[in-house]
Amino acid sequence: MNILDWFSVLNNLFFIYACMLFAVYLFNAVMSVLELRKYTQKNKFVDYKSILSFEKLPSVSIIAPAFNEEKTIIENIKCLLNIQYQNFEIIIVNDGSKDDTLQNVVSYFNLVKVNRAFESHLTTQTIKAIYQSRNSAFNHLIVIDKENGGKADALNAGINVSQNQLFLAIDVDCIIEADALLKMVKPFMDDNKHEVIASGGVIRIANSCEITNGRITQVHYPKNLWAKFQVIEYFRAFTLGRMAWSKLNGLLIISGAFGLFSREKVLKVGGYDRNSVGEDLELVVRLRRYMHEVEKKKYRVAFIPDPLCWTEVPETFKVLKRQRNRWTRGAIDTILKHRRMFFNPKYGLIGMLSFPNWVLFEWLAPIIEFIGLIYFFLLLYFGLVNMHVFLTLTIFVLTFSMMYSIFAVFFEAFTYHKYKGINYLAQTIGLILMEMFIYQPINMFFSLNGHIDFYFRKNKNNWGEMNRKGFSKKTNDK
Amino acid sequence: MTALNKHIKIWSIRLFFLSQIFLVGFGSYFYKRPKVNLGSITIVNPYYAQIANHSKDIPDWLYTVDYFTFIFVLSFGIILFMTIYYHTNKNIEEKNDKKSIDIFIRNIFIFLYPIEEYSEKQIQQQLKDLKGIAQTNHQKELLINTLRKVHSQTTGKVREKTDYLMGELKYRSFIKAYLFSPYFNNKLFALKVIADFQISGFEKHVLKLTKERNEVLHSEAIITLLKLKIYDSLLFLVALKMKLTVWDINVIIKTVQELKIVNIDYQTLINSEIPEISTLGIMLARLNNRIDFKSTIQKKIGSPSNLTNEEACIAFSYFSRNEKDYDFMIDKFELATAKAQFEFTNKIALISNKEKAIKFLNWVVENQSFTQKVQALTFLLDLDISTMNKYKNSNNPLIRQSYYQVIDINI
Repeated sequence: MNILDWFSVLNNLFFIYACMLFAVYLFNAVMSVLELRKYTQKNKFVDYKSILSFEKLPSVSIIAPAFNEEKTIIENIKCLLNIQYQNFEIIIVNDGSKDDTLQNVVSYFNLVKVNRAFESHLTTQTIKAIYQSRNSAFNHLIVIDKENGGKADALNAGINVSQNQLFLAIDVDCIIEADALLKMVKPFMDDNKHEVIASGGVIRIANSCEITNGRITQVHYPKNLWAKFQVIEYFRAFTLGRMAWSKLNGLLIISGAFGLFSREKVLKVGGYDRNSVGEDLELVVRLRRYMHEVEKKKYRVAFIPDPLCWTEVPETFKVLKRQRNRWTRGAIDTILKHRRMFFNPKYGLIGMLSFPNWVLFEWLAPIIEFIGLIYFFLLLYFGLVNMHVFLTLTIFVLTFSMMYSIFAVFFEAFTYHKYKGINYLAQTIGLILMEMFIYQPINMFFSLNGHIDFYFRKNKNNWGEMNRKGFSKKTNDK
Repeated sequence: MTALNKHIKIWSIRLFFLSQIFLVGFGSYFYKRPKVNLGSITIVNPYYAQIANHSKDIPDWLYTVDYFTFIFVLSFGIILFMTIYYHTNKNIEEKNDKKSIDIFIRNIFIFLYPIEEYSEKQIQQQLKDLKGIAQTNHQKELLINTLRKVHSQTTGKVREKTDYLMGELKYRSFIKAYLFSPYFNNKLFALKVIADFQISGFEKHVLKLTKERNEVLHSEAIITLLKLKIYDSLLFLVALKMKLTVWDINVIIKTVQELKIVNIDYQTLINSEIPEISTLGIMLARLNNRIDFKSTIQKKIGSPSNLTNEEACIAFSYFSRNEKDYDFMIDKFELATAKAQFEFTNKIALISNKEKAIKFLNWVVENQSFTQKVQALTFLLDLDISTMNKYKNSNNPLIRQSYYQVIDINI
């Protein structure tokens, strides 16, 4: 074979990969439609408030790690205290904050140190003290003060102290809808064919939204360009991607910002991996692996499409870069740790479809995209680019990407319709056209950066700071 | 007629989507041919010349890419149009619905809480007005749903009035059309209305729906049958071999309590081979204080089903009255789930034989899990503080921790 033949082979490989990627996306779109249809049919007339008077209801611990959250912690805890449920406790884990997070909480909620016993099922950094309130209004609030050990370590400490059947792992700065728990526990009660081991929910973007007393009162489209891009990205990821994998019971990730787990199962697999920065993905993969290898029971990881959790997303290039870098490192770490699941029929659909999808189209996609770019410039340099073919293929990719994104936007308008106004729609359409030239290449760059950090630099387990603006200034509660 | 319209609509939508798939398929066949003969009709491909005489530099497959690009552009356009349509439509719909609901609530409340005595003629006029507002199926649905919500939140005479209002609105044929509609949501809506307003005459069809493969329809049909009170003893659950979920069990219990159903065949339910039905029977017996089924429930302790075992333990501890029962609970303590163990400890700690209680609590502190240790120590604090104090310096750190927790919280 001469060099031109090799180029031809490479061309074909790139083309086949792109077609496979498109097929996966189309498959996601169809599956998510089916799953969402099923979900709405099943739950359209459900009176969630009736759950409050149920005889048999699982008890829940809400675990929220906090690190340097002095600006927002009081509002965030107040939001959590408003959650509607029968039998729950809130565990705030102060993970060695260097600011006044703990002092603020202690004084506001009138907390005192208590001798609370707990079993150290999971290894964590030293717990310095446990606090509870003197005020009976906050009697289901527990605050753990511990030495800094990272998010996974803080969650593990919370799991040790919690005593309930389920735990909801959340980011303390998220805004949770009051009925979120009622909706999240339902899958644990309404499936008699599978044992539900976890349920995840959709994360929505709270930037620019109006928040009063720890509640979203008015949903606004973000003003910041980066946040706007992330709105479309989250539509695609949550409404289409995760819904589709949920349909197949092949969901591999439950967002670390909002996920309900069976405490018993998480303890059995050893809790969150303290050495991983993608602890949310890693835990779900490990849980699934455990269910296949040890329990060998029919099980399910459920997913709730209702917008129940709102979070602030990065608004600056620097913070976005850090976040995506961390996500990439977390994904590589998990893939390498559980590589034996790759195309392994022992793990059923997870081994044959979900995990390979994650490897081929989540992990490898930015790498292949980058190689493709280098390859293109090489061909251009040697004068081997057929401009007609190049333009046709570029338009092909561009139109597909636009079609997929507009479908995600349509899906949102058709189902939950949280963003109102024609201005939002006009901006979104504009961004969909721009995305491929601005946001996606930048994301690819962030991802490559994550790869370099993982393989060649020492900070592979470093979280990096996530500077938040905080919602407190928008609240009017005093 | 409404049901027929709905069938026509659903098939039209399906046909539309099928035709789109057919068009894409036909297009992929047609674009590389000069013409296609469909009987006497000949369709000429205007782009064929361009494809047939393409330059050598351009590979054949690129026209396939072109074709798909065209499909993507077309789809983008259609989806964009639909997005704008739904987006604006939903905004208008939400506003209109809110407006309609406000009017419905106002009118319903005038009827439910009249400030003056209305004559029959005035009442009929009010009803006519109310029906006049709800012209479309969607508005009728909104009106019924609003009434349903008011119905579920009221009791006594006001609730009776909502039943009367529902009857007077004469929406029976509308509900029937929904029940026989091919749309799942319509069926579900009809079942909810039939159940809440206890509308009779649809029992046969509801019974048919209990055999539906769709689990939501299936369980909604069960609740409807229950609310229609035609199978008081709940035996239809056993006869139909229903596989209930924990959700169903909760809903059935709630319904039984709301409707104050008393004629329940506990024996058959508890002895059902289906664990979920057995659990339901046990829970109902406990909630209705049917101590006469204690021995039947006792036999269910140790059941392979965790659900049944837990509820049997809880119910048995609730019914326990004598030494023999307490000994049985102590004997089976380790078979019980954590929640049931909590109930056992609660019960045994309060028995009159203090010596036995203290011995048991000490055993729990020394041998059981941490949550049980804390619970047992809390009871020991009241029963025998000197025994409790010996755990202050226990070699087991968990016992020590539990001791300090109990002291800290209680003293």
